Parts: sequence; C-alpha cells; structure tokens
Amino acid sequence: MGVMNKVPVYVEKLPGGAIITTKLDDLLNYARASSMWYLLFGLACCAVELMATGASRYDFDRFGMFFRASPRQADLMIVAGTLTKKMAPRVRRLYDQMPEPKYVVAMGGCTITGGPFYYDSYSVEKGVGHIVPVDVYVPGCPPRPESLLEGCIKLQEKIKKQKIKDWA
Amino acid sequence: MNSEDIKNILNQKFADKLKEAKITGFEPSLIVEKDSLIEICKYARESDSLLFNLLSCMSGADYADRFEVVYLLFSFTHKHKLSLKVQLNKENPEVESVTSIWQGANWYEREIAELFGIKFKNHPDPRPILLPENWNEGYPMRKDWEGKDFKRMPEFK
Repeated sequence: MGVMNKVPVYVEKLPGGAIITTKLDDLLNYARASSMWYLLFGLACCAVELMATGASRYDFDRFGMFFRASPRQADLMIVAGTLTKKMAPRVRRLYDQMPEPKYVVAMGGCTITGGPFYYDSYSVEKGVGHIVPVDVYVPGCPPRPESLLEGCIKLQEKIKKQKIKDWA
Repeated sequence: MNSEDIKNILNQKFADKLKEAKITGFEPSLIVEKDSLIEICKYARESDSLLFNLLSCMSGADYADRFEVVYLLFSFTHKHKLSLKVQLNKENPEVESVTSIWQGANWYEREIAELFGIKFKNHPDPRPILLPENWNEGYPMRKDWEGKDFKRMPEFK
C-alpha cells in the first residue's frame, strides 16, 4: 500500500495489520485534501486554462480532483475568469448551495482585483473576495496550469492544518 | 448603385431635412434631422432603388456637447450600405424608435436607452436589457458618468 508509506509516524500498525489508529483530524483532513471535487466555474479565458489543467497533460485527477457540474457535489469552487457585477449574485448563490466544508480558489487577475478591468470599467466586480471568502489566490493572466496546480497544493496544505474542533 | 448615387437620391428628396451628406470612406453618411428620421428611414427601407432591408448595427455615442445615434443600413438585394446619424441634445435626448421599420432595432434601442439614457419614443418593450437587475447608478457609457467603485485610469506622464 503506497498510501501507508506516506502517513505520519504516529499511525501505528498493529500486529496482524487489521487495525490502524490515527487522529480523527488527520483522517478527515487526509480525506478532504485528497478528493477536492471542484465546481465548474469558467467565466472567461481562465476557464480554458482550467480545462487544460483538468485534461491529460497536467491532469488534476492526480490530486483526486474532478469537476462537478452541481454545487451540491462540490467541495471547492475555482472561480476562473472575469467576474461581472451581474454574475456576482449568482456566484454567491452557488457558493451558498455548496455543502460544508467548502473552499474557494480565485484564479487569475480579474478575480483577485478586477485585473485589467480595474480602471474604466462599470461592469466588473473588483475582486471575488467581495462576494465569497477566498482561500487561495492564484495570480496570472491567465495563470499557467502549473500555477493553478501550485495553488491547489497550497490549499491542500491549508486543509491538512485544520482542526476538527474549529468546525464546531 | 454606388455611394454617390445613394447620397444624391436622398439629398434630392430630403434636401431640407439633412444636416449633412457626405461620403466617408466608401459609404454614404448622412446626418438627418431628428423629426424626419422615421420618414427618411421608411423611404430608405421601402423605395425600390434603395431597399435597405437590414439594420446591421445601431449604436449610441456621447460627444460631450451632444449625443448621436448611428444607424448602419445594408441592402441584401442591392448589396449597398448607408449610415444615418441623428444628433440629440444633452438635456433631453429623445428620438423616435425605428422598430416599426426594422424589428431588429428593438434590442439595440433597449441597450442604448440603458447605457446612454437616450429615450426612444413608441418603443414596444422599453425594459432594461443588459445591466444587473438592481442597477441604480445611472448611465455608464456617458462621458461624465461616475459609479460607486468606478475608477478612471490615472494619467501617465
């Protein structure tokens, strides 16, 4: 079992190998970090880069990440692309429909501050952070798939530091 | 028919109702009086020699001292083009709707009304079309518009 070689040292293998003991925190965090199903949220050109990341060359599946078309089945929302003021209430609604625990990755300059539309634009929301709480910001215009993967690894690290008592 | 002929036909028929008639690039470009817009459009659409049966584009413009509405016409039959403009004052920009002549003007006019605040009289369905449903910040394509979190590009020296 390759997985067992990577678990922390405080997991005990009992003689016979039928039972392992570990902390509940680590078990839950391991499960959560290893199967972040993300909500398809392509709003603009970043979505193409998101698709490239999901496809075979960069391969999101290695992290156990699959796209879901329904917010009810998603753990993670990758907001990819320019968020307009008209779209903002819809983003908020989809975020509200996702079950806890839920995470948000803001992908690209537009979702961070409005990016190239920061000046002289009446229609673009200046940062998805005004609408939903963001866990990881991935800069770029659009970010390369490597950047997005790096962002998701950062999010996994964040998830693995969670404590179950904080969720109460 | 070439651009010169189109210009001349309209210029002769509506001589006192045109502010300006010239050729820009390859196309005839006419500035028409606001009150005779419908009459001229109807003629351009229906006369056999012109037969402009497509309103291919319609846009608004803010020139600081006036508004303009631009109608770009095309004829599938004769394969020729024409652009018409009306000039409107800043205080009360108001022009007759051309939906009775070209159905396609419907959504163009709703968009221009929403973004520039130009009123189209006798429009069959004058609802807003593109901006968010709860928009209350005025007309964003006007030059002097200022929104809540709107920022102008700073001057670079």
